[in-house]
Amino acid sequence: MRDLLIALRPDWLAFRNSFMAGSAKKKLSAFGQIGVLVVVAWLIAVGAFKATVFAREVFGNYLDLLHLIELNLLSSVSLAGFVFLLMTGVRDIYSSFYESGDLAYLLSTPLRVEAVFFAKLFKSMLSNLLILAMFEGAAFAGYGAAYGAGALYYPAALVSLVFASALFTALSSALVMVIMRFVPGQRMKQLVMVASLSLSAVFLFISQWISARTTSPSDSIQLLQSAGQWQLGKMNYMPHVWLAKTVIAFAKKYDYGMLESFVPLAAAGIVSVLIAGFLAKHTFLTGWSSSQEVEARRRRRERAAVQETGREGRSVPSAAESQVFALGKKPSEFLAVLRKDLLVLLRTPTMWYSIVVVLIVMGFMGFNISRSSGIDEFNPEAAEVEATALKALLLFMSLFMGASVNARSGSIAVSLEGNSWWMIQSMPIRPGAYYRSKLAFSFLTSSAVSLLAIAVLSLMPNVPSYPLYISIPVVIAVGSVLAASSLLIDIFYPDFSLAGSLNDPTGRRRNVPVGRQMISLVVSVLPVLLFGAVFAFPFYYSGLRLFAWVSPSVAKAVTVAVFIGLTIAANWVCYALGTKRLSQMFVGA
Amino acid sequence: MALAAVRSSSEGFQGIRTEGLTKRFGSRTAVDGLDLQVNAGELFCFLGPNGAGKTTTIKMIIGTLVPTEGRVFVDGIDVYKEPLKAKQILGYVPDQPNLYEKLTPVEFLSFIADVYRLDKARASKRANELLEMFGLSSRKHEQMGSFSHGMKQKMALTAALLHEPKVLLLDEPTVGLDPKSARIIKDILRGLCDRGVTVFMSTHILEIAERMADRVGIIQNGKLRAVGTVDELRSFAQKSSEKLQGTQMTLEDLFLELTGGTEYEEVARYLEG
Repeated sequence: MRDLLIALRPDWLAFRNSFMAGSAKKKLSAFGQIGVLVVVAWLIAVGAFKATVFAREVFGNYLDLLHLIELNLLSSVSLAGFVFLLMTGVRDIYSSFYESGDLAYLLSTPLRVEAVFFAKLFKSMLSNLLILAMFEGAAFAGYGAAYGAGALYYPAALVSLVFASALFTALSSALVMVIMRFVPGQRMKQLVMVASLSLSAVFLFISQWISARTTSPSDSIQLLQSAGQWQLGKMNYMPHVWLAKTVIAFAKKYDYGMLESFVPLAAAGIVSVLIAGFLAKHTFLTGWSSSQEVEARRRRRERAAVQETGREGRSVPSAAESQVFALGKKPSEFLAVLRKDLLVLLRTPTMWYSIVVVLIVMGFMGFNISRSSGIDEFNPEAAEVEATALKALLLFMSLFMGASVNARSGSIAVSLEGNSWWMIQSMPIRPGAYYRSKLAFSFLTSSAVSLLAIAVLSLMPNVPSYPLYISIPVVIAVGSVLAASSLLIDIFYPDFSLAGSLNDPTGRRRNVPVGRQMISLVVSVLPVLLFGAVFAFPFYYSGLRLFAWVSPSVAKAVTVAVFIGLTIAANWVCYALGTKRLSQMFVGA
Repeated sequence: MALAAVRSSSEGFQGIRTEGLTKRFGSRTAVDGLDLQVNAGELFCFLGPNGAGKTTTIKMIIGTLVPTEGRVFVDGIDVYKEPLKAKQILGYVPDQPNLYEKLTPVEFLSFIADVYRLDKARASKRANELLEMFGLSSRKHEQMGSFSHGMKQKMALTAALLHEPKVLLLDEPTVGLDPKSARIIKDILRGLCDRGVTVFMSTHILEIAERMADRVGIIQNGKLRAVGTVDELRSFAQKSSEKLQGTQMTLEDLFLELTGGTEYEEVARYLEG
């Protein structure tokens, strides 16, 4: 226990100092983040409260149906929380357990390995508890308030969430530890990515399956009735059902006994922590060592073979061997920087992972639309309006998807240099060439997603879409502005510490911070909205008094002209400001 | 030898010159009115205690830190007026060799060759020779993230030499290197100077400065305390300090004397108990 407390102390002190020490700006940021979480939780709680009150009013006379609906809804809330943790949690646990910067030091001290492991487990558990408390805890609080639950209910719900968090964290860490024990670090990283991705895909499939089973409820009552048919509450052996039953049991003091709710949840939590502790004793240190190894086996074998034959460093290189570069390419700063960035992107799974996730989401969106859309034979005029709106929506959804990817890749194009920024500074690179290569990188990562999404949607039957000769130029134009604006922000506010860690061969850091992603996303979304408004001008101009006299063909011509003008102007402004700032940065100003 | 190509390009070279070079960070002056001339083909060692302003000076010479006052010239080129021209003839190895860890040495050197617009065939041959010379050939296709500090240091030096610079600036180049690698680097630096390359390096290892440097500059609190050959500095110190007169002083004695080695005396007293 003493060892555990010592191992926890650095994290605790760092947490405390983020509130107590540091600049006023840092303190404000820390309290601001908590404020945002509290507001989100409050909104969820109010929503859950109103939904529960509404359900009781409607189904008050049909108690069995009401219980079934409540169990299914609370189970689905619990399940959603668990799936969310699985989607992000496995990767976070891997980072916390095997990539934490202080592990090398902690493991070199006389602290017991289990103590170090439990310190990391505890930290991950708290982080997961925070997520569960914000989403599920708030929903449970709203539910309890609607039933006027007693004072015991709230601590009981919190304790249940503690066990749920312990269960999830311990099981995930046990899984990661077992894989880490047998798989080398770099490969493990990719495996974890794929596992997270598969789980997210499974989640999406389940949600699709559920929505397919429901009969497109037209109102709230029908929705609640559909919820009663979900069957989620029937999985008595699953922790999300235990959690839901515990909450109901404490809120209403009936329906479910402790033996089918709280007891299995608590027991599963405790047992899984014990199992994880046992595994940690035998595998944690070995797994951590393995995670530090980045050399591929093939290379190791090659090197061993060279050493065995004693040829290393003695042979005279043959004519072919003396050329180590691919020849025939004209030297270009632009291509050199772009090629280097694309290589880094390719070798940083945390970056391309988000691209794959977005593509999956787009695929499901297309699937949904192709299933639900159809021509209304009885009202062709309304169907045409719907189709027009839908194809505009899909085009700009594709751009939003690009913006989302850009927030996690292109928007850190300069920060990506990380600790190697000194190299760029000391080399004779022209700011203009550097800007263009970074713009190309940012544009390629975001627009590739948008273009791919458009291509996929255009191939789907029953999905209305613009002809490619319209949608592709639109994506290229808006994508260039989107890339340029996010690049400009990164040039003015680079975070080299962030990308320095992304560059690390062991992936010694997780992802772009959420706050930075949000800022980039908001800044990226603004051009999309602006261009959206311009693009839709021919559809709404007749409603504006100023343009009421304009003919449709003139309106279309104006739209095209403004669209092109805006694209050129925005790119020019970003280029001028960006290169000016870059030329200052290159000399350390 | 990969270094042979340097000689012809360094004829008529004017070396490094700083005029009143000053850098202030807020109220703290890191470098204070530094006037320095380093000649072509000279190996100049820059000595000073921690925080004396060595790295700041090097960064200003390489053109990655704008001076508050003063100017820097490399081969007569004003580094801050014509940065691209100056950087084309400069090579730099920092104290922390942070490289692109996701790239392999071959990819990295290819990137460097493109940025410096080198002839690809010639750069490729030279890269191979440099990798061979530093014993990195067998790992040229591995990502540099798996390299040790010493290997990264050698990689940074390889990258700095690839474009055959006329001036090489090195910040503590031998820190973290094993004796063999340190010896290789020392030999290479000496060889480069013999071929006309100007080498400006900061170091804490006085033995290196004593044995290798053509001239030594000692900086303390941002001010240049002394500059000259080791013999010149020795006689300067003996003239200015009564207690050193007539002694066979080493560069270490000299360094401590010029930089006010009171901490050293305290350590000695502590060790004596």
